[in-house]
Amino acid sequence: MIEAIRTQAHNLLENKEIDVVIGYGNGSDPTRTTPVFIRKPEEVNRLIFDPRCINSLPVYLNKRQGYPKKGWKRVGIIGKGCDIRAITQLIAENQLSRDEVYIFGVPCDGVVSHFSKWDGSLRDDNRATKCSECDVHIPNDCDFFPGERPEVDRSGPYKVSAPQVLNLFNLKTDKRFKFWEKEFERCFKCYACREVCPHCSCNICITDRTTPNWIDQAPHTKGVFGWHLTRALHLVGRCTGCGECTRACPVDIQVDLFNQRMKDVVQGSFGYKSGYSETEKPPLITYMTDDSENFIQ
Amino acid sequence: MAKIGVFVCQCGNNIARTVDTADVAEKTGELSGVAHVEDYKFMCSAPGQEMFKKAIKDNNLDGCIVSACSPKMHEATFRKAAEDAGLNPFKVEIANIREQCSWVHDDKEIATAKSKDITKMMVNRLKYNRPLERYKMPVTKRALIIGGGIAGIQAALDLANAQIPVSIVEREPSLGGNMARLSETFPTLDCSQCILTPRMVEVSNHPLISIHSYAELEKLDGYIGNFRATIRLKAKSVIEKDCTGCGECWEKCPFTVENEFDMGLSKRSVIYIPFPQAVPTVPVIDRENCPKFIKDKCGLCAKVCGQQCIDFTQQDRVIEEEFGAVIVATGFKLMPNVYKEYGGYRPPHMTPKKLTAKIRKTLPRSTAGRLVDVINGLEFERLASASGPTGGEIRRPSDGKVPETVVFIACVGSRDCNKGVEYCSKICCMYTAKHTMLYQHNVHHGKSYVFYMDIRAGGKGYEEFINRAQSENANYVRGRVSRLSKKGDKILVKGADTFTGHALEIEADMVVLATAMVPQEDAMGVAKNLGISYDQHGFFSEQHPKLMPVDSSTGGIYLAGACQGVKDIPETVAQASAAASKVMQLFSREELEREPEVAIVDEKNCMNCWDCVTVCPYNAIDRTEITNRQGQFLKWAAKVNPGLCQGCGLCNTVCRSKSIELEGYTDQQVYAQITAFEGAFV
Ligand SMILES: Cc1cc2nc3c(=O)[nH]c(=O)nc-3n(C[C@H](O)[C@H](O)[C@H](O)COP(=O)(O)OP(=O)(O)OC[C@H]3O[C@@H](n4cnc5c(N)ncnc54)[C@H](O)[C@@H]3O)c2cc1C
Ligand code: SF4
Ligand code: SF4
Ligand code: SF4
Repeated sequence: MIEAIRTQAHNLLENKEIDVVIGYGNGSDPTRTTPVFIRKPEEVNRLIFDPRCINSLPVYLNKRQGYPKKGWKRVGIIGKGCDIRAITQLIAENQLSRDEVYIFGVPCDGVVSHFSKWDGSLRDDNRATKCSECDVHIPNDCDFFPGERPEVDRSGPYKVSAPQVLNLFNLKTDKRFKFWEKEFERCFKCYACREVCPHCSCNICITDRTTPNWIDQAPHTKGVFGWHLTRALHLVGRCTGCGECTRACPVDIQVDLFNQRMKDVVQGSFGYKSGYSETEKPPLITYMTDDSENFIQ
Repeated sequence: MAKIGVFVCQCGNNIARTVDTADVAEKTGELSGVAHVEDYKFMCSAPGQEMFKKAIKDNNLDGCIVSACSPKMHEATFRKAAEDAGLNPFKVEIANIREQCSWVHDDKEIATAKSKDITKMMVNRLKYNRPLERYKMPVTKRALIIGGGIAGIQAALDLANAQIPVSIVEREPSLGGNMARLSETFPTLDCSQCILTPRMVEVSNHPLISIHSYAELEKLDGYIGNFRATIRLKAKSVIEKDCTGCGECWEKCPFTVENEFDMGLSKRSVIYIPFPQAVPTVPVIDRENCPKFIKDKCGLCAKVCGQQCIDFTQQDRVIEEEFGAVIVATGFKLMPNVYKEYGGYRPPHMTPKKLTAKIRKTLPRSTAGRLVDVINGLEFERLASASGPTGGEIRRPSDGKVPETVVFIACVGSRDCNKGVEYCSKICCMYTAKHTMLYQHNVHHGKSYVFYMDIRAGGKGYEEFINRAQSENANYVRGRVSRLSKKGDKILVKGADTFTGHALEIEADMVVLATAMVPQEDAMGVAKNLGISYDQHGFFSEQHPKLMPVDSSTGGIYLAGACQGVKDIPETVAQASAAASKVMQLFSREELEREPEVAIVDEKNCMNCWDCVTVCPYNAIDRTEITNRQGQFLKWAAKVNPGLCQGCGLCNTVCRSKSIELEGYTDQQVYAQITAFEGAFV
């Protein structure tokens, strides 16, 4: 599979149809992979793909991360189904145009939940939660696919979120608050969760704004809650569920539980799924006459 | 440092009864930035305003807070006074300590503390108020009227007689609307056509009125004073300017279809005018049913037309016109008569969308087949009309027999939260009484029954009219009908008389339902197109239910007639004239002033996600290219058209990067206001 991608990448780079390929390469130790940026055709053999390829590469297509870099007119990118949904979402939000990217879709059976869990094989106990509910094992949109790309029906709803979300949701409000209060004690506002998110694209994040200072910068209860609740709300109908925020958190806070819950709400109330359409508008900025909340009229 | 003046009003005793205004003034005077305080009996009185102006000048104040009643009451008053005293009016804010404090509390201590808080919050907010300038906009002195029923006709005549050019866009081939269908009208029983058609002729002859019939509004851009309407003129297949309305074509046309003007009770030719007095008297070809268009056969009309004005190749034309104001007068329709149309069964071709769940529930329990002789009020009007399908003789649709017994049922679908609409359709009591009279005048020996819930006849001469109907032989039965079914060639009406408590069965030859008046099918689409709001039923919403009943939620767009809520003709006409006078008011000025409280964009940080563009209900935001001084493209950013922006603030809430704010309600102002809150009274 990866051979076919390498060959295609080689040809495109050689013919200058694309200027770079963003993909995965081997990392510093055998359990890890690292993002690689291939500009020269002869370097394509550095590209790999296996269940260690966790990173969500579309973050490099986000303007806030310096995209496009000098000389990048058209960018090739290796995308798992879920990554491609993130790309679609970026396009829907006008942060990228479809013809700027050349997507190498890869078939994917799931990735490990964390590099440390990798021991050579992928099993139920080390697979990322998002992968067990995934309907884009075969990508829904790409420019190149190794071999024949089977048609998959993705019209149904997402599966419901991870059990933890529901367990938490079933707690009484004060218990749930206690839970988060305890979790958030560890947060020291490094903003790693923001930096890895492919959808955090503001030039100045609201949490860094000082005129006025909407969100307290200090990492105390108020400041941390302010940050996380705002983050959750800013991603309503946009988060494509890559789980990178949770993985990036140095103090192991499962911040994506908020996003998963929001995903359920948006789907339940408005039947909306992010990252499947470049033109459909997310529910928070539109209204339909048959929206269940008739106060919107 | 700021030099703020705070003026605490006692409002006679309205505020002073529960708020210690002297204490509020004293405490507020200690706040940083406050340079002057007053505690006064009536700030809005002439001496109060003089004192306000003098204080501004004497103390060289750079901002003022008036702690008084709601800003809705006197914000404009004090802003004007400040302007007179040389202070920018947008540096004046109202702290509402009446409606939001003194009126809703009894405890003086708590209310006083709360008033201090409210005032302090406004003082803090004011420190971030920027001086703003009002926008000046030109006005296009032409009005657009959508819908050519009696509402549209009245408004057009009023405006045109005030020398204002008007265009009417009417969907049907002729003006007239539902009133043209009526036979005689309550409460005076004058012939509807006789009072309507002279108006229609006046409209068509008026040099300042242009009629776009068989046309629809496709799009409305722009804002108060400066609208641009895109109008689709559907192909009539007739060259309008050459047509004399001689009638050769529609008389010779060999094909007929159901006549919608007669509610399907008669046939009309395929090339047609809806009724003889139609305005304009130009026929249209109903292309869906014309064999020339279906299979290229016939073409007789083209041969018989002496003027040679039949044009089968005519295309829809889309025109653009500029207007300064719009009056919406799209009227109503009746809730579908499920008895007749579907005979108690849901026909398979009806998608659930078409037959809404609510209507489906109004179906009787079981009535086999269509009950053709169960008709609605408008059908009865056509049967009773001298120009109708029966020439004014009341004959029932199924076999043309003169009905000996007629049952009228009021409140079908109205006042019924479960099966229909919650509201009262208001005119049904009246037209049902009218119908019994028309029937009685027509069929002298006939028997009529009216099943009703209550009689609602609140209008000039209305109760008298009902009394007259009741004395003229109509049997009024208070109670509901539970079932209609077929019995031979009659309809068995089962009901109850709640006065006597007896069940009642009547074998009727014909049943007339006073079905609920509901908005037009496309009302919500029209509302969206125009950017006005509507209520849960689909009637267009007025700006204020009492004080602004003809203004829509959007500046420069006014409402008239049954599209805004159920109405009879007198009310419709009154509202139409009111809407016209609103337009005259608007056009009496050469330039419009717009409040400067509109959205502004931080172009540098706008991430061009266009969420604001999508969310703005007034289409006030565009995309623009930002260039450097050499004209090179730098980036995209949102751009607000201050003429269109209504200051609703929706864009502010969706912009994650906080790149769009509302002047007068900037984040800094709101934040300062909130953070000044101490909550001392809780
Ligand atoms: C059975 C019955 C009997 C009645 N009897 C009486 C009576 O005796 N006395 C009395 O005072 N009142 C009576 N009324 C009430 C009266 O009919 C209405 O008050 C009146 O017709 C309302 O006028 P209108 O112009 O608002 O609406 P309409 O008459 O409905 O006119 C609306 C016009 O707008 C047009 N239109 C609609 N949508 C569009 C669009 N999107 N674009 C362009 N054009 C559009 C329509 O084609 C129509 O011409 C009766 C009503 C009924 C149902
Ligand atoms: S990555 Fe973790 S510690 Fe850092 S801001 Fe996010 S939740 Fe807090
Ligand atoms: S919502 Fe904000 S960031 Fe997005 S286009 Fe509008 S102003 Fe710019
Ligand atoms: S405040 Fe924003 S959303 Fe509201 S009308 Fe103005 S530009 Fe549109």
